[in-house]
Amino acid sequence: MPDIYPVNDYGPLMPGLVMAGVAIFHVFLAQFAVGGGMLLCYFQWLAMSGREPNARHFVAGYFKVLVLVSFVIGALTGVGIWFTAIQISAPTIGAMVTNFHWLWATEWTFFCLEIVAGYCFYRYHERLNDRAALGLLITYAFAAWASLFIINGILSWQLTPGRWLETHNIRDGFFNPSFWPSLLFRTVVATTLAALAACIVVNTIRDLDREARRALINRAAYLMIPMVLMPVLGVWFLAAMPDDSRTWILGGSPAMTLFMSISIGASLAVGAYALIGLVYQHLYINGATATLLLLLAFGATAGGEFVREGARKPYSIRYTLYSNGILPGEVAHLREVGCTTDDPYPLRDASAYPNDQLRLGARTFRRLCHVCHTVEGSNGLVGLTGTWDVTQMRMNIAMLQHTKPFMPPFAGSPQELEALVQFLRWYARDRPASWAASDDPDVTARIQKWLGEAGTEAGVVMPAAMRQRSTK
Amino acid sequence: MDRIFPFGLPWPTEFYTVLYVLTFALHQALMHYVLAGSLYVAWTMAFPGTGATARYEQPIATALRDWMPFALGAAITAGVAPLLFVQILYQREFYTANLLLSWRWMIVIPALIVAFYLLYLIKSQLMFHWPRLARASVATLAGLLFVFVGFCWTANHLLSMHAAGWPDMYVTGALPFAASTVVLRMLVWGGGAFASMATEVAWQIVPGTGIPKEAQTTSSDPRPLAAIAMGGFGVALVAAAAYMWQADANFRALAFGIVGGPYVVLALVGVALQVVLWYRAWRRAVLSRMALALITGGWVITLLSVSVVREIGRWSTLDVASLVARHQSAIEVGGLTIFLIFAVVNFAAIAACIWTVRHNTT
Repeated sequence: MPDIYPVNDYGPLMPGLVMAGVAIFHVFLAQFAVGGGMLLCYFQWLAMSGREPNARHFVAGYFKVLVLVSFVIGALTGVGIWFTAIQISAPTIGAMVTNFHWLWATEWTFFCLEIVAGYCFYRYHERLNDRAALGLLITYAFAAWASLFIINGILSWQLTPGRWLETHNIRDGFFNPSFWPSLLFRTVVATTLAALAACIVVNTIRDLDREARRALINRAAYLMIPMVLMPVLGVWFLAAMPDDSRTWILGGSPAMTLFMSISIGASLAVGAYALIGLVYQHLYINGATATLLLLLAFGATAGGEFVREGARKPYSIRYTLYSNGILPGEVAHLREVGCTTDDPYPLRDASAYPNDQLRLGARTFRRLCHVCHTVEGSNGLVGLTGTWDVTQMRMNIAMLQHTKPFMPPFAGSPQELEALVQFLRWYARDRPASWAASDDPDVTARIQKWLGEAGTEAGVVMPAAMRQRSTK
Repeated sequence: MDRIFPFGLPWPTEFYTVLYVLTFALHQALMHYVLAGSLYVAWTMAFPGTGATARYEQPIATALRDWMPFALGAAITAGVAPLLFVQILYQREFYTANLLLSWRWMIVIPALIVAFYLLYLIKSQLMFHWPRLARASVATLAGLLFVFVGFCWTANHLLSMHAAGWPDMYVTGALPFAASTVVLRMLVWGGGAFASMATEVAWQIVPGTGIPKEAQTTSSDPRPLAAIAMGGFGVALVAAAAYMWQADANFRALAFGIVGGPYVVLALVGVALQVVLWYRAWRRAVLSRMALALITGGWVITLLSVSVVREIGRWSTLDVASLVARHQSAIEVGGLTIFLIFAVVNFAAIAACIWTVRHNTT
């Protein structure tokens, strides 16, 4: 049985939103760092070959930005995302670390190479010959991309573990069905972000006239040409997704469809401006417009990451671990013994509840629901269940994976389910000072029947191999 | 546990523990430079002295101001490896401590971001146009932020070893150990950090020692560094003695017995070697490369040995045998060969980068 961890409350913010905020910010900066390395190699080559007279000047300024933004905030939000993942779902990050720690350790060796190569260039480029400077930049760019290569394998495994489910072989998990489309897509995003950042940096170089700036901007825009591949890569990624996830994105879940539409719309706007305006018409772009385009790209990244995270539901690791940290194989056991029985952590506000049943309901909510829901804030259960009567609440929660297929099966005892229902009703009625506990044996029996009818498996279709293993 | 650390347990546990200790020591070596360096620079900014050259423009502070941003970046990067291995070795303990400290732990990240930018500010020429109070305030804030980060890590580590107190802490928020424990541990590390920093800076500024050329100065007087190192050792040794005196009997038995005794002896030998050589340098006002190499040897021995003793402290509170099944299953997931190959390739590439800089700069 997995470990049970203490749960923290983030007020009206559901923990998933906290995670998303840190993750999107970090992904944006990390991809900028990856693309930045490639862009610098290109400009160093332009400088060395005499094709662009101001390229050398640009390289120095751009790398300073890269160091100040990526080396500092990028690196620290990378650690921050780890800490945040522990806060939000310790079982998930624990499973990821356990299964891929040697690959993560390999990524660490690339981090070390990246920082040394990058800092050597940053500190000594003015005194290095061109060949040595290019060598350092290529090393830096390769190390940065290699770290993307590795983390992409681990993240895409969460959504599409593929043959790993049968073999538990690290190679099968790493080179999973969505690995290549995801890697190529992220690489295109990385070069695009780097090019957009370059447009801003060029506009900050004071001693260049407008024509010189335009020439640099048009050169940087070449790194956005791969955006033409985005539709193909996007379709490839969608095709690699589990069927149910794809269905939610393509209209099944309005929120996910909306976020994907934002992502596509923003990408289209950036791509059209870049390809038609900068590459084809060789237009100039000022700092304000470049910043706006970069913000649009941030929106596209945010939308894409939201969809990628959301598409895993009801799992945090597909078919392996539910979003709430419960293992599929645990559900049947927890329905017998209860999900709160082994939880050693008392309630922080135990005296605020009028009776023990509500306290049990609060602990059930904390164990099973808290990671994705609040009580009354964002994605709040009181609001989501507000139109259900008490019988509907009991039945819908007991048959949760059928009520909403992106929800995991309820993994507690009938008593805990009833306590959760009473807890939500008590909240919905503004938490009165007294509340009668419900102890009708017929109700418990009915909940037990519904739980039995719902079964302990997820509502989404599981691969045959996984199903065989889970029944062993 | 009846054999010298880390032996006597199944090999996966030994292997992960050794990797953890080695990478943790590497992280410490870099972090010491930043922690002690930022405090030293803060002192020079607050008390620039009355000499012709202000203290913050003298060789030690100049080298520190110049290299602390890189050292912090390197320390954070180096810290990823022990952060990874601690999650394999003590997943439940580490995660629970993270969760119980909650925002008190998460604030480490913004604190480090602010401190990082302050280091760049301290490095820039911009600050030299500011009034003394502003300069000193910025440098002191940076130093205090690193102390705060050290405090958070220490609290996290200690909390991970107090499983019995977790449920109570979840409700009350009060740490289940005495504040003096944290203070004494921080004094051990803080004192040791100054000694580490002195050795590291010596390689940068003592003429003839090589790196970096632009940080070398005409000053060959090693006495300020010797004073820093010996002062650091004084604080660390007194704090370590007090810590061991108030530590529980189980830890003392392990630390001074067959499991940790050899490492305690090694640590003391390393300290003695450094103190003798620093004292000699202070008396003669000369530090030869050979002496510095020996000091560095003593420093490495001490850093590794103290890191081992720290780990033995953790073992004294845990049922390590109960963790071996998890370590066994972790080692079986595969990927070790890939790590070893890329570790060799990438550290060779790092060496090539440094070689490139040393042989291609004009």
